[in-house]
Amino acid sequence: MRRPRPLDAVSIVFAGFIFLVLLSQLSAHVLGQAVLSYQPKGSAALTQVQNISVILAVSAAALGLAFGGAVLLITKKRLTLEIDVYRANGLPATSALRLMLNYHPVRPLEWLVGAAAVAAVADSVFGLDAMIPLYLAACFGALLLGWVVFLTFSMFGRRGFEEGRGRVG
Amino acid sequence: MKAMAPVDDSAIISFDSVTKTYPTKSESVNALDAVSFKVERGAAVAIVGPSGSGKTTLLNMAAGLDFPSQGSVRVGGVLTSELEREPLQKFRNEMVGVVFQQFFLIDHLSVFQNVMVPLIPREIPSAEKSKRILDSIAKVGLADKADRLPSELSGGELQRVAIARGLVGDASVILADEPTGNLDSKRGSEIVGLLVAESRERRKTVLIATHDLRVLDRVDGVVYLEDGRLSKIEGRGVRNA
Repeated sequence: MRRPRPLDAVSIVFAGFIFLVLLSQLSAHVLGQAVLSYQPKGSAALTQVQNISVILAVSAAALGLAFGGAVLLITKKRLTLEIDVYRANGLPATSALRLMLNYHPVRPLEWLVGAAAVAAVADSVFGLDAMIPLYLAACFGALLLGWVVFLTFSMFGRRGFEEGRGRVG
Repeated sequence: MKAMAPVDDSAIISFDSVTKTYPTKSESVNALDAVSFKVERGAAVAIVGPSGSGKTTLLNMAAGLDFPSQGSVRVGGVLTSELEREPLQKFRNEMVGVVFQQFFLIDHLSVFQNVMVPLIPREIPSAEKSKRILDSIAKVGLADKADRLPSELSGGELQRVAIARGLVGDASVILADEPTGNLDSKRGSEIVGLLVAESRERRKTVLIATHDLRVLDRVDGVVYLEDGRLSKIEGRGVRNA
């Protein structure tokens, strides 16, 4: 069985938050429709529901970004070890980055495509403004890519392996 | 030590008054203190000493993974501390093959993919790369496990994968850090045999850091380290600088 890669778990967390935001918007949309069916002239109430929905969605997105960023930090040890293996074997930084993007679910961004597809479907079926989940997916994508690029080049910016490894034995 | 194939007189690795100091919060610690010796081309040499004696630091310097605070390290005539980034990468990739103490295998890559890593920057046709990788894996006796993940292998098999990766690049110098650590005597003996065979049969220079005294019967020469200082040199293939 394939062992999970460090960024697999992060991708799942990101996808979870995207669907949470989508769900909150969907719930608000359904609630708004219900309000309108009971009170045909309840546009003020509908606007209020929509405003609260946007606030909730943005809050969940911000929480997701903060939480996702924290989860990314947990992957640092395993990712830097992998980058160190490439560095110790004499690979240039660009080759190492290409490998990192190939071997981890960053380049395909499966979760981003999945979330975008679900958001688009929800948008067409329910007439929902699904842009917040899509923006969030784009932010997560940028965060993941930025993290891998940052780690790779910061590790390759070091000349030796003095910090830690040289002290053993 | 057994007298095996003759070694060249020319030194391929040269440590000249090498001192390595690591600053700590309260003081500086000397991992190596004015260590000097030369290893001849084609020799198999053990570096022996207790834990903390500086064996790994010495190997890391020969691999271009670490650099002396004072003194100099030359490998194949190259002064490692003067290499710029790109020549240093080329040096790490082509001149030395390293077998790390803790294997440093990438756990989500297969045995084949792990062994492939040193060949990635090489401009070799992919069919030739595949052949070299499979040959290297077969040499360490894991031909039937090329598509396995490290998590599916035993400690001895992981060590052999690490050795296959160290050998696949056909480097002139093979550096192995505690290759028999955590292995039983039979497996340990096999691993040392693989490394020494590279010296005997392919004229590679092999440096093995170990505290396993059984290794000493298999190599040409021995360098003894104690508290970061060179305490004794024995045998052939290694001499005082």
